Amino acid sequence: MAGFNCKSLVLASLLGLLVLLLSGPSQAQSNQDCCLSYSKGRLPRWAIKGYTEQLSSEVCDISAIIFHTQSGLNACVNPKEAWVKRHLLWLSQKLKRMSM
Amino acid sequence: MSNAEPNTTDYAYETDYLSLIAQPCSKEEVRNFTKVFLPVAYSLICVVGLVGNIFVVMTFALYERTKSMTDVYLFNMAIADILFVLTLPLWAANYAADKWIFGDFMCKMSRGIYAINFNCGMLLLAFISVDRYIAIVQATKSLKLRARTLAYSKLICLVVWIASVLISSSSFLYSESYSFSINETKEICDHRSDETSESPMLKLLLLSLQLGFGFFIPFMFMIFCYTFIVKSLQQTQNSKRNKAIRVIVLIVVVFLVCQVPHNIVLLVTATNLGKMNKSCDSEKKIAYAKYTTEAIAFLHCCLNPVLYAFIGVKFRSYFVKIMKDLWCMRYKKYNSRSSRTNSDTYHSRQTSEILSDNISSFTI
Repeated sequence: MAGFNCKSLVLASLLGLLVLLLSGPSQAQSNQDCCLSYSKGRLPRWAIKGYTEQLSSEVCDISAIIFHTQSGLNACVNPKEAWVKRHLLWLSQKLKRMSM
Repeated sequence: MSNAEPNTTDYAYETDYLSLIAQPCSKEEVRNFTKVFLPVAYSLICVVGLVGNIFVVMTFALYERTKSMTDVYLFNMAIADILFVLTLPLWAANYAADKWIFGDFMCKMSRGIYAINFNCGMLLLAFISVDRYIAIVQATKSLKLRARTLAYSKLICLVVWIASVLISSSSFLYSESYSFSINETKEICDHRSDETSESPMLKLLLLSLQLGFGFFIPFMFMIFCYTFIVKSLQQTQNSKRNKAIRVIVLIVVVFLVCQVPHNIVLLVTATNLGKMNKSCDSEKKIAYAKYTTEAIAFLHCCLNPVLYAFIGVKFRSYFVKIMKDLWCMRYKKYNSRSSRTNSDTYHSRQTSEILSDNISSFTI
């Protein structure tokens, strides 16, 4: 009887450990605004006022950069594209200059 | 729309300006819906679930006879349900205010407790069906086996709780209150993993575990156990047979009605996870479906006391007795005589029931 018990305990704890490693269920919100796709066209630098980062590790599904334009648009762009990276560098330098 | 003058650019800017720009999917209308619907639904579920399950806990706590395994599971399920519904006011406030205002610690706690008790309730549903299976189908071995498991009932429940905590530990680990901004910056309480980890894979894993433990495992156990129970009940000639079958069918139907829609939505979400170029319209529809079906799934913990405890004649009569006793404590001077006659008839009824069946000492 003790054996049965011990075995089931070991089995349960092993199962628990496995699940712990894999992590468990959670309740994710689905009412947040997220980028679902990337813009096909490029944006000129002068049109960009600022940017926000969307991380796939957070509530949204995909990683994206959101450029806020002077005209009040939010443009989802692919963070892996070269022109986006250049724009981001330029924006951060501009920000640095402004804060200095 | 565009007040800027794009005359100095070499980009194809103005012509297909809007068609080339992908904007974030605005879920404003979903938020307007969740702002009203979820606080109302969660508050109702919280109140009804709290009242029903507190009655169950109270009745079990005051019941002095030996309890069956199912009774012990039911007691634990009621406690899990109580803890679960107690987190709902926080979520109601979260959706009403459209931001998380309770801080990081409460975020981790409420998401963790939410997951633990949801999983614990589901695992206990599976265990209850197993216990009933042993009691009815394995009736010959049942007395010995059930006495043995009853001796370890505390240990088994402890294992169930530990397993639920372990399954839910990621909710503690990966929940965080953080600021989220697209149009406006606000605090939200949600999943957040390390940036280095492969998040779509992680999210997929979390979802499939939720599907597995929250639905498929209890479902498999229920289908297996209750099929055999109904089969063996059909062979016997017992006046209580039809009622028992009806109760079982009701339990399975309520489980399916409450859980299947929500799990279908989760399944659809899981298959679409990490995909590019999803349409905003279908995302919104899925969001509506998710919140509606989730509320239906939560309703299950209000129905558990009714389905599992109050359907049992003995539970009901004992509950009535306790209620009367409580009532009489307040009005002892006036009602002491009528109370005694009531509990007398109750006791004789109960002994006759214990003699007539040992399927479950308290329920069915």
